[in-house]
Amino acid sequence: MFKKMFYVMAIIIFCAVAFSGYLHEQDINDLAYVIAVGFDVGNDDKLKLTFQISIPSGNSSGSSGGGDGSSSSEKGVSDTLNQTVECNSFNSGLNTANNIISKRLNLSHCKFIIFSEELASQGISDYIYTLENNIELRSNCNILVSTSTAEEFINSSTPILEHSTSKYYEIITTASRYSGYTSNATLNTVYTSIADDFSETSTMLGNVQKDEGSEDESSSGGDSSSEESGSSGGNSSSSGQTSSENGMTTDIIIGGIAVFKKDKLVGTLSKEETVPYLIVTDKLKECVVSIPSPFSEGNYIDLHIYDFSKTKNIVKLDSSGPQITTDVTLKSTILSNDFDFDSSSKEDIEKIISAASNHLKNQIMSYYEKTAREFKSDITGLGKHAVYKFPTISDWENYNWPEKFETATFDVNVQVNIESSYFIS
Amino acid sequence: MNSYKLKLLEGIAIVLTILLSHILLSVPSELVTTTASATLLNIVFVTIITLIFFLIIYKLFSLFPGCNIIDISEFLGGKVFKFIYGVCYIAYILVLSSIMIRLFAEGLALISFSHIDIDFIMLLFVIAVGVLNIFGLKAISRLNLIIIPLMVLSIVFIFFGSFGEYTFQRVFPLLGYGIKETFVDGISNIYSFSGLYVLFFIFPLLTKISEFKKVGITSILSYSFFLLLSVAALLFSIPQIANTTSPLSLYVLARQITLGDYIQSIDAIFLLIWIPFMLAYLSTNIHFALTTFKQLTNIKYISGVVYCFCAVIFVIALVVKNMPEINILSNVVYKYLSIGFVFVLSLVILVLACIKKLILKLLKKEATLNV
Repeated sequence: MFKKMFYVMAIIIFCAVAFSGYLHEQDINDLAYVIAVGFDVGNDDKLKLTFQISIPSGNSSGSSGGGDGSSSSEKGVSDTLNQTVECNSFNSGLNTANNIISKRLNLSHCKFIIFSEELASQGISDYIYTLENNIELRSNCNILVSTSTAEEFINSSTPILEHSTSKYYEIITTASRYSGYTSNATLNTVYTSIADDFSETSTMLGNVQKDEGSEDESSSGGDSSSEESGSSGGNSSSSGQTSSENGMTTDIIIGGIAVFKKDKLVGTLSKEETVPYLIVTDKLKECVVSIPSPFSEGNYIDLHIYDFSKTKNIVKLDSSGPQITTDVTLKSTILSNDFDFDSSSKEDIEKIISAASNHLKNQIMSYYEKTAREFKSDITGLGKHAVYKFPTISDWENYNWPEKFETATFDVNVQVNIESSYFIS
Repeated sequence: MNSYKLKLLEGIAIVLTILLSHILLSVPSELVTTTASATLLNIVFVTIITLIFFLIIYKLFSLFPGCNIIDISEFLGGKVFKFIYGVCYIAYILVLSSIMIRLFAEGLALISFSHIDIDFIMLLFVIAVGVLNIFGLKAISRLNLIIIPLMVLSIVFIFFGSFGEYTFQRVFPLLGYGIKETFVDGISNIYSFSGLYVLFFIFPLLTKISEFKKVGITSILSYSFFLLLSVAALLFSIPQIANTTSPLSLYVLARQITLGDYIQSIDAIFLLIWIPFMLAYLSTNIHFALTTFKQLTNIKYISGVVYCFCAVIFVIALVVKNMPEINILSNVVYKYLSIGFVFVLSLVILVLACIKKLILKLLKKEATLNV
């Protein structure tokens, strides 16, 4: 019995020692946690990477914040350090950054990956596959395309009403749940939609908003790296300047959708155009829509829309191309309260329902026309409703859905139900 | 060593341990690579074939009560044939274990132990497996009983945990690459049931011979169900799975599971379950290699051989140099070796032994009549 116990204890101790870290390789003091990574086209090298690194509380003197270093909810004070490097690939850039800051960058808390519009137009699949293979990076990390450079976007992202930048990144993505102005895209969803052959990729869209009169200074150190760059191994520049230091106010705005064809950016949808996207893809939680008032020209009625019924997309295939029918049923309440209409009148409510249905129908039709004719990209994933009609993969591939989608005809039916009344009228 | 008799649950746990290891490693992604969107259909088809296969071997085995496949091979071809067949079986089990341990160690190194030499990880496994085998079948069986519910729970949890990532339309086109590719070429996917080799040995180990049928059918149906869950989760979550070459298919799914905003990474919990499961699997495998060796040599004290077998497994696992070689071993060598050895050769031996037994019976009857 003693011999057996000895063996068991020997195994447990051996395993415990062997598997619990190896010569302090994973010591937390050697790690620096990245909370956002920006991808830009490099000036001298292929790629310019910007790492936004969290500074541990207690010694935060954020280079991008430019404040007194302490955590603060005040705008302009940061708890992060931004590090920009030029490199030829993501991993070589990571390695260069490791060398510069003398700590191992760890991506396990990375919240955002930002691609500049220019880089996204060239194709992002290589980067997405590389990132998906990175064991540290979580698959729910958000992907965003910035109309400005990714470096500028990261430098401008100082927390508002939040203590930490990391928390700020978590919060700003949740706004889409109630605004309907963007659609969250994670590393996993982008990876799968690039690989899928019945839908195309879309990501969140962001940009940097600047104060008027400060355009000349708006690059916020964005080109500083190019001046110092030289070798292909990865040159660097710490872009610690903040917008407030430059005497201008910048802020990041997330709204709209970046539309991809395969892995290349082909266009963008505005915040308003995102609402029909969310409706047809069944991702809408709630939002506020302003419809032209049927009672007086030039006026608008605000509706709070919350979508509980599943949108039905039916795809019929014939020789002329796919015929797509979308049936949408939405619930809503009227938010506007004016003297133009009587909310207790059945006739007035029916007029509002009709106006709302027509308005949303036109918006959805416009969205479909734009994605099919202009972008030629099925970001709605309507191919999912056509694929089951094909018995084998070769039949489906021969049909060539991405090409046929460009010639698709759309029929949209929208039924808006107004349900709630006012406190006062 | 074989004095311990297995109860029904223990029998099922042993068979499931061998079978479920395939789910843990690269088998689900391999199945999807072969039959694409038709994989679920293919698994149902392959399960039916496996059930028929089991019912046939059950009928054939019932003619040899208390015998395992090695005893039957002796009856068919004498001691020499028994020795050749037994050595082949030992080699098969050891090579199989080496492939599995290498695949799992590669997966572990990739996920958590990137700074540790893979040889060191494999060595730990081999030592643990060796010590466990010293304690014999009873200890292995108890470990299996503990680890199987956890393993099953991890598969079910991964299936439901990945639900948010599912695109159910990925199951279309329903026939995948075509009818021939799904039902004719796809029959090779039966190798995913090759862990059933253990049924050829378990027959005399059960307390009641009548429980053999229950053990077989329950194990096959349970395994088929969990294989369906794993493949469905993989198929619905990830497109073009051919690009997924991870040695641990389930881990690819496990890392994308989050529980709300606070628990965002729970993959380590799965590793905590899978490591002892792999120990249980390797121990069970080696136990049957030892049983066969004992039958061939009539050796009295088997404990010395345990470490020899462990060393052989370790050395074979070390021979493989890189992932392409591992892929060839697991996708080609293991696949066709398993089909040939478990499903063809063993069945042929059983059928021939039965024919021999019937002929002998007839001759004996004839001789009695002549007398």
